[in-house]
Amino acid sequence: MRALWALLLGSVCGAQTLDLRAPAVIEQGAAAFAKSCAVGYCHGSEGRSARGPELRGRRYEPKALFGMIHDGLPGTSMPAWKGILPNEEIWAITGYIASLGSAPVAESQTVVDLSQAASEPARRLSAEARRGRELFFDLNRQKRCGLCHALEGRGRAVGPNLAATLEGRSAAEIRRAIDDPHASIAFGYAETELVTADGETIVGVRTEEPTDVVRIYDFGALPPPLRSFAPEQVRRVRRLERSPMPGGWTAVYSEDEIAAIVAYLDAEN
Amino acid sequence: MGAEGSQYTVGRMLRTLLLLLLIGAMAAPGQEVNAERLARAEAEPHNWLTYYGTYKAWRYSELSQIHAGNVGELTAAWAFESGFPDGGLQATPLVVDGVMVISTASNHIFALDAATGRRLWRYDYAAVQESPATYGNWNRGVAIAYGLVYMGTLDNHLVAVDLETGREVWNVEIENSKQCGCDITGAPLVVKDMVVTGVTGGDSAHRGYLNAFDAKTGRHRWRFWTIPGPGEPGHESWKGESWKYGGGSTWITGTYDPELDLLYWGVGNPAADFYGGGREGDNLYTESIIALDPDDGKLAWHYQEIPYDVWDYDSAYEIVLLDTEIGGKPRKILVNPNKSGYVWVLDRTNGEFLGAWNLVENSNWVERIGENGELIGRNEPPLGEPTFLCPAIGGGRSWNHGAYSPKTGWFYSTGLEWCQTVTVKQEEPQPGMAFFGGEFQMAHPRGGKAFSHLSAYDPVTGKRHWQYKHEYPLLASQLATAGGLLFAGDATGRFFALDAETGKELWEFRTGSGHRGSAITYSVNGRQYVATPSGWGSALAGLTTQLWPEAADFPTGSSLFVFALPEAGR
Repeated sequence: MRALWALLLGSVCGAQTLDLRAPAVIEQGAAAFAKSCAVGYCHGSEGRSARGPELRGRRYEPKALFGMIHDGLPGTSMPAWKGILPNEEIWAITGYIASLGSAPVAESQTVVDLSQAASEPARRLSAEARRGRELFFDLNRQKRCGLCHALEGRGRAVGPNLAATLEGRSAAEIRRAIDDPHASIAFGYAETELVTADGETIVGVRTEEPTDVVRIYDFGALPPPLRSFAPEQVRRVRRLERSPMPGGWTAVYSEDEIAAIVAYLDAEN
Repeated sequence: MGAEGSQYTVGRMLRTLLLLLLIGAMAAPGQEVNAERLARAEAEPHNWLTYYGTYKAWRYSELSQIHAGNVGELTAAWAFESGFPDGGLQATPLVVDGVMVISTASNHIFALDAATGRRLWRYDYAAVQESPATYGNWNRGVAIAYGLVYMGTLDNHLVAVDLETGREVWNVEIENSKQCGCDITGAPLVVKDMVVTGVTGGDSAHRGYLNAFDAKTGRHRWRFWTIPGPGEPGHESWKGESWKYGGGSTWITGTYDPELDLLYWGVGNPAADFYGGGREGDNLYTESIIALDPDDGKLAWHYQEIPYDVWDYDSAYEIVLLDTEIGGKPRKILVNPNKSGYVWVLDRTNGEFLGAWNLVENSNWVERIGENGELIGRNEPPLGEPTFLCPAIGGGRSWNHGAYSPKTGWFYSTGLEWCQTVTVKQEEPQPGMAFFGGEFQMAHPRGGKAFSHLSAYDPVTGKRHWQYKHEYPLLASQLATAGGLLFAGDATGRFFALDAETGKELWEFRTGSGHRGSAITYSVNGRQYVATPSGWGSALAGLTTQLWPEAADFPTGSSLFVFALPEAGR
C-alpha cells in the first residue's frame, strides 16, 4: 500500500497530488471501501446500501464527500474517519465512491492537492518504544497504564497527560515515577478522600469540571468508576498529599516490559 | 465441543435458596427493585422488571385483562416520541410500579408515567460521537435495580442513573472503544448485587468478554474472557496469536437461574467472520453457551454449538429457561435459537446436548446436526469463490426475541428465509478495526422469493403447530400473554395480535414506522397496557433493501405506542 502511494504521489514532482479518476486510485479506494465502509452492515458491497445509505447512482462533489468521510455526520451513525484512516486513503475512497456515481466528477475537481490536508506524518518510534506503546495500552491486561492515562487518542484520561507531565524528564526519572508514584504528584492530581453522608470512604481523583455535583474517580477498583454525588450526599472531602496511582507495576509487567514502556514515554515527550 | 462437568454444588444451591427465602419474604412492591424481586419477577405481572420480563426469558405475562375475545377493542392510550429517529428504536421498555423507562438510539434514556406517558425525566449520554463505526448507534435496553437505571454505551461505558431523577450516579469505562472497536448495544442484566454487561466486537479484531460491576458503586467485580488466554483451558483451540483478535462478543443479554445460581450468556461468532485462515481450531468459547458462577465469573460449564464458525452465525440470542419432561423424566433445560436458524436444546444444569431443530427451510450451511450435536456436511465457503449460502448473514432469525407461553407450552419465533453470496477474502487483523474476512451480497432463495414467518413450535422437538407468513422480514420480538395472545410487529409499521392457539390475526394498528424492538405488557391501577416501540432502522433493516428495493421508502422513527381497552364509563 505504502509503496503504491509513493508511486502515485511521486507522479507530480514536489506537489503531492492525486488523480481521483486514476484506475490505481479507484482500485485502492475500492479495497479500502470494502474493508472499512462496506463491511458488516454499513454501506454494503460496492455501495449497494445496507444500514447506511445506498451510495450508487448519486452525484458527488469530491471535496464535500471527502469532508463527510473525514469528519463524519454528527447526529447520525456516520463516524469521522480522520485519525482512523490516513487522508490519502480517504481521498482514494472518495474517488471510488465518485466512480459509483451517476455522473463523472467535473474535470476541474479530479486532481486533489494532498499537501494542503496531509495526514500528520507517523512518528518514528524505536522497536522498543513501539513495544512499550503496545504494553501501555495492552487490552489483554486488566491492570495497565492505559486504564488511567490517555495518549494518542488511546487509553483513558483519568490521570494526567504524561506527554506534558513527563516533559524534560530523563528515562531514569520516568522509571522512578513508575516505581514510586508518590515521588512527585502532577498538579491537580493529588489523591482526594471523600466521605459520603452514608459513611462510605472513597479515595481517588476528583474531577475539576464546574458542575453542581461532586465527581470523583473511585480507585476502589480498576477501571475506576466516575462517581457523582449531590452536595448533600457528601459529608467531607479532603485532599491528601499523595498520588492515587497504584503501585506494584513489577507484578504487572516484567523488567523488560517496563523498560519498553519507559522508552515509549521517553519518546513521547 | 461438548459439555464440561458441572461445578455447581448442592451446598451453593441451598445457600442461595435460603437467602431468597429469608429476604424474599420481606420483598414487596413499593420498595426498590432488588435481587429478590428480580428472582420472583413473575409474581409481579403488573411490572416488566427485567429485559425479558423475568429471568426465564419467556417474554410472557400472566396479565389477561386483554384477551382473544376483546383484543379487537384495543385502542391507543398514549404515544411517546423520542425525537431521535436515526437508528430506529430497538429497545425493550421496563416498567416498575407505574414508571416506564426506555432507552433510545444514541444512548438517551426517558422515564415516563406508565399510565399517561407524561415525561418524568430524560438523560442524555454525552459521548455518542466517540462510538466506533461497525455496530451502529442503537441501544436495546436498560436494567433497573437498587434505585438505579443501568445502560451500556456507544463508547463502551456502563452508566448508572438515579431512577427518580435521571442524574448520573456512576460511569465506568470498560475499555477504550476506539482501541477495541467495540461498544455496548445490549441491555445489562442485574444479578444479585451486580450488574453484568456484554459487549459487541465480534466483527472487529478484538477479544471478547463479559464484565460484572458492583451495582451500587460501579466497582469492577470480575471479567470472563470469552477467549481463553495462554495457559487456560480452551486456549489450544486458537492458532498462533489469533486468540487476541478472535471476536467472541456477548452482544445480547443473557439470563440467570437463581435456583441453580448459574449465569447463562451466549457468545457470538469468531473473527474474522468468513475467513478462518489463521484461527484453525474450535475457537472456544465463540458460538457457545457459557454458564458462569455469578459470584466470581468462573466457568461452570460450556457447550459449543458451532465449532470453527465461518458463516458469522451467533449463539448470542436469548436463552429460554424451561422445566419440562423429556422421555418421561423432568429436565431443567435451556432453549437457544442460534443465528444459523437452528435452535439448540441443552440440559441447563450441565450443558448436555439434548437436541437441535431448525426454524428455516432455506438452510445449506450444514446438511444436518447429528444426534450428538455434531455438524454434518459443513458447507464452508472457499477463499475467493462466491458461495451461495442460506440463511443470510442476517440470520435464520434476527436477535429479536421469541416468546414462550406456559398456557400453550409452545415457543413462538420468527424465521427468515433469505440467502446470500459470500466471497471470502484473506485478511490480517488490525487491532480494533473491522475484521470480516469477506463480503456478502443478499440473495433470494433458489427458485423463490425471500420471505419470513412467525410460528408456534414445541420448544424441545421443534414440531410446528401453525405458521404465519409475511412478505418482509419480521424483525420485532414477540410478546405472549395469559390472555391467549401473541403480539408482533412488521416492517411496514403494522403492530398486530395473533391468537396464540391458532395463529389467526385478531387485531392490528399502524404505528407509522416499522417494528424492530420488543413489545411489553404491564398494568397500572388495574388497567392492562400493551406497549410497543416503533422505529424501523438497524443493520438488517438496511440490508432488506438489497432484496426489497421498496424498503428504501420504509420510514425510520423512534416512538412508543401504548394500547389498552377503553375505560368503562368513558
